[in-house]
Amino acid sequence: MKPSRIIPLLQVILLALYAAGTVHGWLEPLELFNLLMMTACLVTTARAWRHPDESLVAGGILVLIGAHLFVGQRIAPDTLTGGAILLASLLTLYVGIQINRHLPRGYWWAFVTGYFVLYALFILHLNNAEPLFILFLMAMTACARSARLLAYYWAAVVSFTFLQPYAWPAVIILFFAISAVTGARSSVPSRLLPVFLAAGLALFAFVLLPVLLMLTGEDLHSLETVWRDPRIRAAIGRTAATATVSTAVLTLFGVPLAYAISRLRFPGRTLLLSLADLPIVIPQSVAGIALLRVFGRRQIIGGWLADTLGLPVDGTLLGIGIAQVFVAFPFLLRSAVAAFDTVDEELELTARSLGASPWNTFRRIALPLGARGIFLGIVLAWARAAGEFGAVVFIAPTPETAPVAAFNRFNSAGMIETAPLVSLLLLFSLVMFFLLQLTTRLLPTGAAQPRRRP
Amino acid sequence: MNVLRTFMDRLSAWLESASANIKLVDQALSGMQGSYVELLTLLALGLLAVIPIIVPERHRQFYRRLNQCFGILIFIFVVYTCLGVFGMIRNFHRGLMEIGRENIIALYFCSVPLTVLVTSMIFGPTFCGWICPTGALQEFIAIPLKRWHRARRKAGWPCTPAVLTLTGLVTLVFLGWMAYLSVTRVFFVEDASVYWSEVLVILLFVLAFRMARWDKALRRLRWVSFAIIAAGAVAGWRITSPVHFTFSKVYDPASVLSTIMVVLGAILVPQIWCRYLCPWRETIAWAGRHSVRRLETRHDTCTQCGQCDSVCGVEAVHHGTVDPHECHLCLKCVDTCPTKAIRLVDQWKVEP
Repeated sequence: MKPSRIIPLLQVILLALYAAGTVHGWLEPLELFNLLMMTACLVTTARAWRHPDESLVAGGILVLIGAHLFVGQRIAPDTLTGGAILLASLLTLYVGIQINRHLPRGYWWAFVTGYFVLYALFILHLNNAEPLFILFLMAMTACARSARLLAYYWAAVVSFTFLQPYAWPAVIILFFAISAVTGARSSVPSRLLPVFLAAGLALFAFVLLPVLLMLTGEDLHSLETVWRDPRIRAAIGRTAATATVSTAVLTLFGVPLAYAISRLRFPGRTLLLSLADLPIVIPQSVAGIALLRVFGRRQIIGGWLADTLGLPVDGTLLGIGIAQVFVAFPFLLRSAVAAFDTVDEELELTARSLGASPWNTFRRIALPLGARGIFLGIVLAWARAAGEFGAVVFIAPTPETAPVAAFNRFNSAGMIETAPLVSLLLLFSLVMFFLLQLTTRLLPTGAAQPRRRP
Repeated sequence: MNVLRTFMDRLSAWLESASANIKLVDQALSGMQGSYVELLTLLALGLLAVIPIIVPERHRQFYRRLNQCFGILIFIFVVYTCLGVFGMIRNFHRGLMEIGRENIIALYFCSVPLTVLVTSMIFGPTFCGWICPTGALQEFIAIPLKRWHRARRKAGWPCTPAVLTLTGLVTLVFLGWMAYLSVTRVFFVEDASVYWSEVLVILLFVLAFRMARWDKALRRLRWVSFAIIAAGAVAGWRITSPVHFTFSKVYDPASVLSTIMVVLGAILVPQIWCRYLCPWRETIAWAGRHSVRRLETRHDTCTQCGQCDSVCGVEAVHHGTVDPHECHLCLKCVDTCPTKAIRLVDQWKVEP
């Protein structure tokens, strides 16, 4: 039997039920809502009579309205709640029918399963969340037409219900992962690559989660309170100042050294390049103790510096600077050498042959062309110097730098108290990070620019 | 100065008395016993969003105006939680964070933004064209100036003495009000909507001279606006939106100022707030790009008469093609098209 034939039958049954309900007294026949519903039924039937192709939707509407009139009305606490549920149900019905008609079967099953999952989640699992069920059901109908949107939707639902205190970090990470995996295109057709990507991103989430959590966890007020603390302010200022000075010293000596290493061939060059990585390999506490062994007040060099020159190293800004230079050195040297390596030597030869002095060749050719890599090295070295904790805490526990201050505060006041400071420091690091990203895009490179595709 | 001050005082007192007890269902909210009021919101907004589908095509623009009037009424009398365009973003954030803890409060804060987003994703961005009270206010203000706007648009938004005078007058209103505010009260973060009106004034000056050239670029300001409000929501700022004071009980001179700036701006440039500054427009545009319902042009029947271009209030139509990112789905272009080349289509399949 065609569905269009059932519609009048349904309408007749509804009218009969309406009459019966009136007679038996379990339905107010003249209440506005009920009258509205019956009118809507009649309009639907009339429309279905003229457009037989819409009869499936019409039949669904009739059944739903009937169910709400005779069952839902008695369950729902009031007419409004009933009306809202009816609206959501009608929307679900409409979208469900359209999905069934226009989209592959998988979407339909995802839609139906989604309905029951939402039901289990909001009505059975959470307390007092029936209205939220309506809301999220509507949201699901909006996203149900596209696998990608649906993935975003479920990621959001899971984050905001189960991962509640960490909801925003979770949403950010999950959305990033979904957009990466669903948007991945490769030249080699492969189903394996997106799986690899997803697996790697799952690990990456562990890196991102703490950072995002600290960033989104604090409000402006607590950040301001921390910023007002003179001790913290002094520590941050001290960190910025020492890191800047040590980076400047590093740049002054490191960039020429990098140029020399890049251009000269000499015995022990490879050894020198390898040794430059030593500070990365050495544990930071070991580095701190080793530095103390040399520059400590009771040691030969440290004692001589303190007594003869009046420059004590341990427990002073000088000590902080030395520790920072020590740990940041490889970052600058590595990037600068790599940057000078990309600069074409022919250009410098040409410049020399046309009469430029060695200094001018360096200043006008090598330096500008290697600028991007050098600046990257400078920013990295600055970040490393500012963030150094292990070496600094051994050679100069006071005056405290920002990482040391965070550590001391954590030891004395605990995690909750330290959180605003940590998010403040994270903000500073993020600013550095963006600066880095920006400069690496803005500065020129020595390598030939890849020609843009038309 | 003194005259200005007394005038302003009287005006704000009048506003206060005029909008006292404007929420009729105040009692229902007081205990927030159930989710009664918010479900009504949901119902009302949902119905308003469905109306564009079912109204007859013959007098569609009339029904649209009617719908907008209903929208204003509903936002005044029913919707509690919409604290304007800015508050909606902030509330959405707050509501989402309450899920699992206080579900009723979560519903209270999420219902308006989610309903708007959902209806925009299914039925197209009809909220902007058919419901939004801010948009309606701007449109109603500009009705008597329709011809002037069209002529100006046709001429490529030239910088005429009339425009300059009007811009100057608007600036004077702004500066006067600011002077009044600065002597009468201390500023809070809430009053930051003043910055938006400030930007509006600057925008007006830019638009007076360079509208044709900079229009497209300036629309990116909506992103900036959205980013600021979203960041503010996470950081816990409260910023009062323009056209907010009528929709909740905030009789704030700063908010009134931003409202008046929006209205005055809309006199000079149609829908200026929607075009350049509305942060919520950006999310609706996103939802609208993913919506089922969209406008399609049949280029074989299009005669390039340009009527749809000239009738669009937000300049979303270019040579018969509708830009879904800017479209408010007011359907004026559909109704004016003499060859019926633009039509509404439902597309359930999503192109990959």
